Amino acid sequence: MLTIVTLLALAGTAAHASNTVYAPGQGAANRLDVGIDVKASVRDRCGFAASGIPDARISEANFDQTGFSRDVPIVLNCSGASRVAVRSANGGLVTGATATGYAAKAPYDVTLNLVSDNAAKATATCSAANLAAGGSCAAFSGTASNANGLRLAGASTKANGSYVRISAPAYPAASAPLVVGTYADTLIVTVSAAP
Amino acid sequence: MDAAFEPSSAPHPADRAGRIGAAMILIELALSASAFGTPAIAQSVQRVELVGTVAARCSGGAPIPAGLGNLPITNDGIRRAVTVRCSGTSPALSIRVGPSSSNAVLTATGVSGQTGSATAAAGEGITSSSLGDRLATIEGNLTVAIPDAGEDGGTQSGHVEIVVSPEV
Repeated sequence: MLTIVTLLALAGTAAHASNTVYAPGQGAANRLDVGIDVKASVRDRCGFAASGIPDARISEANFDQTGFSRDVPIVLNCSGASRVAVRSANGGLVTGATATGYAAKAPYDVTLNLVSDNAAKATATCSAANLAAGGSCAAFSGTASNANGLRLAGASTKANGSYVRISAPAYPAASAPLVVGTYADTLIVTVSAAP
Repeated sequence: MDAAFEPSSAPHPADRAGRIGAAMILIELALSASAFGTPAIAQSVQRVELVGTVAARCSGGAPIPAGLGNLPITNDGIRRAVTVRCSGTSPALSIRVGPSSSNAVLTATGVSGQTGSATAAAGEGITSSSLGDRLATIEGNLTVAIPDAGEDGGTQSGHVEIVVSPEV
């Protein structure tokens, strides 16, 4: 009986000592380690890299005569497959002036060229008209999601040569003449993980 | 001195233990949070602004000035329609006839239906006027007329030059 009581007392002392720490110089134990089990999952990250060109502004004088082709580089930061989509605010280059028989909207094309870290590519072209709200460009119109947009199968985490190309030939002479003025459009490019 | 007999105003070792442990827990949680928090993505939306300009200019299916060719003479003289496209708001109309020609009139139709004209007398150099409206985009929006042609009978030849400029 005596032996059992002694063991319990020792056990109690040991338990107390393991939870007590003291300031340096005031006790033997100066730190208390507390283990915490952590379980976490890391989702695929996907966005535009901070090092990429965040926004771009393209200016083309007399585009109706000369046509144009300009590339806007994009740098993705996606750890897995991704989708990129494009929306056009106006569905073409639009000016505010109107006149009977004249055109106030100039068409142009948008090409998406996506390149992954392992050099896989995804490319498609749509007219700006089909990138406007309700447009019929199935390849990449609208807002990117895990089911919408041009899909790049592999990870893309660096400058691989991806770009958005905006282009148009010289405005056809047979079409209704473009009214003089300044024309504008805004493209909204979005990216999403596409697991 | 045994820690258990510290003055009551001093922190109890057990309290210190709690603070030390709490500090360590916070550190571990902070490290864990960085592992499964949202990564530092710059953005998921990129905007591309496009701006372009269309200058005021005119163009035609035939060179300007256009050759009128060999035209039949009617009771109204000679008339020929020409089609020109102008992007500007008020093109200028100019006409000039050679010394041996009759007077000539260049008439243009605007989008709102109004017409503008410039009349040139033989050998008096170029005459200009403003349409005062956008040029209509219909076929034959310009007419060159030589009203007095044919009064002398027979075959006549002359030179009429018209120029349509984007703006006055």
